[in-house]
Amino acid sequence: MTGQANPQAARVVLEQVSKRFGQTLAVDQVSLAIEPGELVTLLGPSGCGKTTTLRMVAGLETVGGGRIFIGDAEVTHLPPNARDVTMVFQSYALFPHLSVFENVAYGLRVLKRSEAEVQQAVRNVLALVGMPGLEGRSPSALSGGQQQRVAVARALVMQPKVLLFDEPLSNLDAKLRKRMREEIRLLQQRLGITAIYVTHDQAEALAISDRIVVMDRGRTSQIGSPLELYKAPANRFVAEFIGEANFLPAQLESVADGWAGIRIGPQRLRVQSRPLAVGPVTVLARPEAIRIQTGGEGLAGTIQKVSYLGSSADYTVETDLGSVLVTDYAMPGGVLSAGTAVRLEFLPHGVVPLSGP
Amino acid sequence: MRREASPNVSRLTPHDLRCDVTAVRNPACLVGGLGLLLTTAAVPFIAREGQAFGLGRAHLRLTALALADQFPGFWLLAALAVAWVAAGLLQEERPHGPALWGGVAGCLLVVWLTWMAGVKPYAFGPGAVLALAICLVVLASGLSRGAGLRPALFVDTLRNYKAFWRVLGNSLGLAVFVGVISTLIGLAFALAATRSRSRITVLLRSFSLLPLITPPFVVGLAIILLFGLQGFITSTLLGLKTRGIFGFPGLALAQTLSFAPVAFLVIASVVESVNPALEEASLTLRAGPWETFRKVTLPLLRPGLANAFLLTIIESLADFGNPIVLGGEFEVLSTEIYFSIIGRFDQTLAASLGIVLLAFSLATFLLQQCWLGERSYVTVTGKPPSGKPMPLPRGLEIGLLSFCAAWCVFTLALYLFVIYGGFVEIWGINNAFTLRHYRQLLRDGMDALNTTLILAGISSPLTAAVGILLAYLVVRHQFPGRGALEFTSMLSFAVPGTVIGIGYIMAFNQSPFLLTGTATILVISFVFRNMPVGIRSGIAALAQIDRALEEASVTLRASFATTIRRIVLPLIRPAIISALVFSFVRSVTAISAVVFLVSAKWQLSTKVILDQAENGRYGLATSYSTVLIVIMALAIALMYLLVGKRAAAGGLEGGGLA
Repeated sequence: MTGQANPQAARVVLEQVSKRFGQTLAVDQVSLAIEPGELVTLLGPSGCGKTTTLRMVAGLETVGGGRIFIGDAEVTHLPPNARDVTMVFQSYALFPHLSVFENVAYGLRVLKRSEAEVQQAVRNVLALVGMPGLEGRSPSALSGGQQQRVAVARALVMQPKVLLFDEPLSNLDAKLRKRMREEIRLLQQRLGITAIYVTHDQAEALAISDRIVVMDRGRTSQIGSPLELYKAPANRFVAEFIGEANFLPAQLESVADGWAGIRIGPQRLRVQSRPLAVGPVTVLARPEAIRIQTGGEGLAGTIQKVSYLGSSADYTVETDLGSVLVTDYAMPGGVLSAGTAVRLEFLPHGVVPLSGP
Repeated sequence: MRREASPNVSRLTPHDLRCDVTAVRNPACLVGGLGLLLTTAAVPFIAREGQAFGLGRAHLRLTALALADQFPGFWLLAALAVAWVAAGLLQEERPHGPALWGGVAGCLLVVWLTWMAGVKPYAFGPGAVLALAICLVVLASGLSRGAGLRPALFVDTLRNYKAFWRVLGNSLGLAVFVGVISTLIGLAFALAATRSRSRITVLLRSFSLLPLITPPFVVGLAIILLFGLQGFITSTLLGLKTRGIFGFPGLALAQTLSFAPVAFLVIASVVESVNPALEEASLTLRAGPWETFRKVTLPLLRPGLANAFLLTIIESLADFGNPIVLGGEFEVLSTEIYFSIIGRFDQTLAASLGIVLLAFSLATFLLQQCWLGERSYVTVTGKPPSGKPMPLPRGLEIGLLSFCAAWCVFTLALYLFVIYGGFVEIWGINNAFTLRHYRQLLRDGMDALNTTLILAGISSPLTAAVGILLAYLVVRHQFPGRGALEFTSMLSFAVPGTVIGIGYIMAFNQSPFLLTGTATILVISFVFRNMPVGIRSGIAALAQIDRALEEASVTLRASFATTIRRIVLPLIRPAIISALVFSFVRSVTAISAVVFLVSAKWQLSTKVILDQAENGRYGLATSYSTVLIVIMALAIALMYLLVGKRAAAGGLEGGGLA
């Protein structure tokens, strides 16, 4: 969270918000509180209700149940133009018949600001997003990245209480996507503006967010900081969605004071854990927290497949507990070849017991 | 108007209307009006999800906001309700079927729309307009007064009408014959225009515009000038004195000339959308061009052919202009309906025949919509398919091109004869050059021409507005009954003009809708006849505009009205212009419905041409037609100028940037 206080930034609260389309429950009692100046990402696969939730905050979808607050005011039933919220659309939605300048000026003109004020504000915001000098262009004459900046400028110029992003980077190529997400994050922190960001790309979510809301079939699966979600996923869905994951059967032998003693194959280790019942469990083991070596202790297996990725190597290892994915960044012994007999050692920081066998 | 002599029609003069609050005799208007008033009043209390608002202060503030901003149709609706109630209070007649049903249907609609507005608030404005539209259409079912709701009367009327089976046979036989021939010619033109490497394809394209700018009797008149008793070919060249062209041969020829371009348009769009990769695949699989054409291309065109065939049948059944001048002893339904009213003063017979004609047209329309609607092999991806379409086999191409060229020359000759016909004394008897007809036209015909242009000028913006609003509703909003709405709005295309005509004179012959003989009813008839034109161009244009553009505008604080004004309207300007021009052109050339609705005071050009042609005064009829053709051509040229410029400036291809 940013320390800069922005008087415009507002708290956003969703209270058990629901939405039904025909027979399907698109959003099911989502509750969420977003602090002023915070960037919260709604993350999930397509159809999980993240975009619908965002559109309800914008007022573009009617709210089926529950309440939404922006600042101190309830906005649940307010039309979009009566909320102090702007949005950056997936398709950018730049008005094709207006120039870049007029696109950005559109909202100010609707509010009937003076011409001098409009000129000043538009030039400032275009400079802010790094787009000076292109005011007269038509949107169709811009590259994808430039269109994206104009769309952001058009939303920012209104100085909204909340800024919404609906998968804003999905139409850009991978390199540009990475750069734009850094710029968006920088801008958001500099202005100290409250933002809600929707994406299905977990890397984007991890890179940009103060907190992430993982959604699954209309419900919130887990809410937490990127680190929390990665280190302590609440369930298998979150673990699978964020980062790579192995799920292995294990035995929970003892639980005390937030620590658990578990046994995976032949290996015994102590890991941080939520209170769970002693007995068989499933554990999450991150591929980069497994040490692979040709000798020594650990779970025995045989390498089935090797993918060399430059900075790391991915091994698929066949073991008694099933197939295990291992990512080796250190590659102390060079790259191993398929068919090699290996031992796998699980490192405690990358192992999380999940409930149930 | 002669039909005023009809004993069945009771008309009220303004003197009969007096304000008598105590003696409200027409519950229909009152119930309808009160219903409207109640639902109007209920709007504020129906929340967006259909549950009632509470009455708290916040809700009231919200309501005012929503009304001012989101329900532009609200005030219109309120005004309508008040007018309706006032009409009910002023009314002194006994209950009137169509008005009653109109009122009930109107109220149901308003309830439905209001509920819908709860789900999608901004649908309400167009919705209110729609409610008006459908109320009027229901009222137009004045047919039911004639015979529709009394089956025994309907059957008896037709039984007493000896010629019924012959007339029905004539209509259907002609329609099927013309359907088959027009479809074949349309196919020939479509293949030649889209698949030929030759330059004359541009000419073939403009051929498709001809029927649009052709006043209804031009083809018929031209055929009479060429093949009639004094015809250039029959009499001057061959020395025959025959009336043989009157009846089936002339009618079939005239209708084929008129409707083959329609078939061409339908088939050409299907030919163009065939993915060239399919033909390329066939060619790489060792099939030759002929085999590919027979086994791949033609089967892919089958739905298009069937579509063209059914559309031509609908057009042929509804055609009024050609049979009235060329029919002779060969009676068809549309002209018999006309003569029942104008000659026999028999409204019941007219209504009964109208119902029969309507049944066949609607059946064909339903077949076309339901059966063919699903049967398209064309995949719409929005991406232009890559690859060039396969050229036609050489022999086929030469054959098609020669045929099309010959047909075009023939068509062109017909038009030249019509223009020429306006400059000779008496066709075939005294061929001396004269300007007599044009002088007479300037003297006697200008009133009707002025009336036509003024009424078409009033109705075309209305048509475009209603059509595009409905298109907006259909494209932008998912709501229960959306499909039905789209279907209903297209239906008026399938209803033959003559049926609409008698429906209108019956429905609007009684207070409070005493409209026969007024300009209002002509405008109403133009608007509802041409609405599908506006809807179609609106749907095509709106479907291309990313919905996020409007959402972006709304999140930038713009109201619904501002969004429409500053985003939607500028983006669909080409569609608006083409809807304006086409509805204007169609209004000017309309005849079948308005022939029943004109009066001495509000006379239209097409009716004047009809009167002249019926009396054999071809000189005046053709000169008048020439003037109309010129006006139509100018209107179309103007449209191309306006739309073309817009397209050059960036057009719609940037629309949405998605």
